[in-house]
Amino acid sequence: MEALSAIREPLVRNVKSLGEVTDAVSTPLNSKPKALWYGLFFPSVAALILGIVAVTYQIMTGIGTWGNNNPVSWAFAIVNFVFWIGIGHAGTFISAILLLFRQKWRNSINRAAETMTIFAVICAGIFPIIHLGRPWFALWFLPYFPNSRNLWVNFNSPLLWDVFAISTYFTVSLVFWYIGMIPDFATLRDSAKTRVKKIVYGLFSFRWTGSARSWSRHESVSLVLAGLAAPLVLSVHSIVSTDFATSVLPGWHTTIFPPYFVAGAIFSGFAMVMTLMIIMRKIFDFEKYITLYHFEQMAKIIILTGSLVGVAYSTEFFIAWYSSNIFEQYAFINRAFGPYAWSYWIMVTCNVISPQLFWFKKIRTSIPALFVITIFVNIGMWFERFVIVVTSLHRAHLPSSWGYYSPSWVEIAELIGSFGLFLTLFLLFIRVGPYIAIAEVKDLAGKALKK
Amino acid sequence: MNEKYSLDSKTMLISAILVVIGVGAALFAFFSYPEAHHKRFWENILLNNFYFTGIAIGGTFFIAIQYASNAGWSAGLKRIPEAFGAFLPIAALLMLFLFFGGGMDSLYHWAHDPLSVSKKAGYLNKPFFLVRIILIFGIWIFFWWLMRSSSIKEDNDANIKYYMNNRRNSAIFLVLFAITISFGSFDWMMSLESHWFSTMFGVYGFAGVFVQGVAVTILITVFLKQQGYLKHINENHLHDLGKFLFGFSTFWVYIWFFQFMLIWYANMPEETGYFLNRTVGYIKDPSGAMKYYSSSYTILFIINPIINWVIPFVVLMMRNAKRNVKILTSMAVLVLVGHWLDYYLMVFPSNSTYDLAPNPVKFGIAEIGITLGYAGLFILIFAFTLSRASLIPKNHPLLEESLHHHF
Repeated sequence: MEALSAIREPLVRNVKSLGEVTDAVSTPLNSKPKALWYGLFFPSVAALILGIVAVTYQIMTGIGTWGNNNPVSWAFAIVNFVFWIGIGHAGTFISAILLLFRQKWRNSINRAAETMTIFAVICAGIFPIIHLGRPWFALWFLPYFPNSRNLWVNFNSPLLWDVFAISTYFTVSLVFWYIGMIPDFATLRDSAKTRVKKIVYGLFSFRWTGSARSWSRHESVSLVLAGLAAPLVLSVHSIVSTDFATSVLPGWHTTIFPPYFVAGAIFSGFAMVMTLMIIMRKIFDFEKYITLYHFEQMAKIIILTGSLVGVAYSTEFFIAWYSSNIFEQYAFINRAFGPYAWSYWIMVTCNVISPQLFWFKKIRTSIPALFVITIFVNIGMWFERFVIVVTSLHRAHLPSSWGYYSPSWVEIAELIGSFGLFLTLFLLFIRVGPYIAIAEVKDLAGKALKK
Repeated sequence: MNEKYSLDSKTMLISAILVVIGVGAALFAFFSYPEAHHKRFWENILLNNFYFTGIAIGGTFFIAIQYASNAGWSAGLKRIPEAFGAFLPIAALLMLFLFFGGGMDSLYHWAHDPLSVSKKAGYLNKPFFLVRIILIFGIWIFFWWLMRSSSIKEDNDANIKYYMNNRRNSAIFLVLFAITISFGSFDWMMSLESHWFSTMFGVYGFAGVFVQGVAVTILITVFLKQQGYLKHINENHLHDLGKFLFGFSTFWVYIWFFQFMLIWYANMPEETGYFLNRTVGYIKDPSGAMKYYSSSYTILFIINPIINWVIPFVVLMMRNAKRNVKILTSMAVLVLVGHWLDYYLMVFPSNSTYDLAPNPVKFGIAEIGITLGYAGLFILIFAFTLSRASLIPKNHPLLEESLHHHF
């Protein structure tokens, strides 16, 4: 990859020295944040507190505080769970799959995306636990040894596969994220202004010296971890999709679910990365490192995955008709024209129609347009899970088991709380951690300087 | 920089002999097995139509993603998969031959018994099937021609507009491809069992054809290098192609596994019939009860994921294996055999009525000969197309990256 064609867009702009990259990242960490940061942080903490209050009330009172009923026995909690797991996918996709595909533009956005993955999986993990009603029994999810209860977990259940898939995913993502940060912590240690910061960053950097041998091992381990993480991008959401697809419920049982969920997850994840990147770029004035070119590339991935999701919706609809099964057909007609039609059309508008605007170069290189459309996509992807879960459940085969679900204030507060948790963690991280992969950006800047 | 492949008489002779063998085997199959409207003959025609169409469209898809993703490394070998698409018009003609020659009634239960699928007769009927054949192949041929001709014009005119045009063409093609490959798979393969349905089937079709395209690209790249062409292609290019083979045979098995697992798990009779035909074999006796037979397809069903994934996965995992010509080509051959078997398992056990005895495994002169004939035809058309243009797209803006490709 030594030769680089002249038509390639520069990945960093106007960088005059490598030291400039260090300063760009470390200066904000050593000074007071902008008003914009406070403006985001306080509402996020408020949302988090609201969520904590709601969860506490729900655990003390019981699951009856939710709107769940019979037949809609699964609703907000599982919707939020699938939504947050999906958000995490872009981080792994950027850090693992784009690394294997040698997409160098990932270097300036991968750290923030990986960070987002970790926090999104944390948000997701909360929902199955609080759904237990008695969260102190969460350990019973695990088939731990010795088997003290003389009762095995149900290995036939996709919900258990979820436990394995997600804990593996979280572990690998965490290790990958941390190993990538070690050299950057060392850089921050060397540029820290106070003694306390020097010691703390020093501890996190494992006394990284930056020797050639360390770098060589660092690169090998990154590649191996990328190889391990790449199939996880596919497996995690495929397993999540089997929570639904192994059932016999019309609207849930369809074989396209695994790749369709994966495409949707990457789609929503990239939208969230883009939203956060636009905010972060604003907070830190990072126009040099996160350029319009980066946004354009992400927009292209959003068109790709958004169109795949659109193809999956149409395939489901078509095959429901083709199957000649009246229950299948009813499930899909009811989705589009039944009592929950509003949620279906929100989903279609946000997920299928809005990303198609990115075909126009003017739109995919306009920051305000990107910001609005990516938020639309996130709303749409949340509603997609709502449509799948709730509309499939609210009409059972017998009309006597028909119902309607609306969320209670507790569920809405918990959803808002999960956003609060996610944003609080993210905003705190960009105050203390290497939120840009300094070493990897220097790699790009170094090549640009040599020219 | 103006290296050209010249079509030698040896290649022409060998492929002509293969075509003759194929025609002989086809006539043999047609006249020796007249049962059920020459079913065995048509099964072979459909299987090979799909198989070689798969290689042609798989190569075209490969070219499209190279453009859409601004890939530079592959520029030096792009003329190879680019020439695969020249087979598409022939594949279209052969598909029309199947349609008009009597293959429909023999293969597709819905075609000779429309009442059996009365609820979806609006889709599964002959005229609309023909319209879809024409549309699908029309779109593929048009976009292949668009990308190919723009790429060739670029050789004589160093203007970036050809590259930019192809980037746009390939993006549009990719959208249409997702739809056309789905409907192609539904129509030509899934509707063989007219009552069966699986939303995954389009993705399954895509996964297979892409692996085929990559595998044939590997084989031809290595072959041309051994003939003394393509001096600039080194083990790094092969390594990248090997990664594609490794990655997408895994993608294929992912789709294969989940389709099977979800149907097995839910165990709904309207879906499991497809896999019963391919694993145990059963018929309905007059009382309507199912009678199970041990089926000779079982072993093939188990072999399928082993040769299409387990072996290539284990072997190609090592870096050195992807850079070793012998190992890489043997894996490419294995996977090509594997996907022929995969399509064989779609076509031959198909039985929409469930009241006939299970189809036996058929393999003999007909299957081998007809496949060789198609291979000869494919090689002939491919080699001719390849010889029409320079092997190196010398004005490709990313060519330098491919000529100095090492990592």
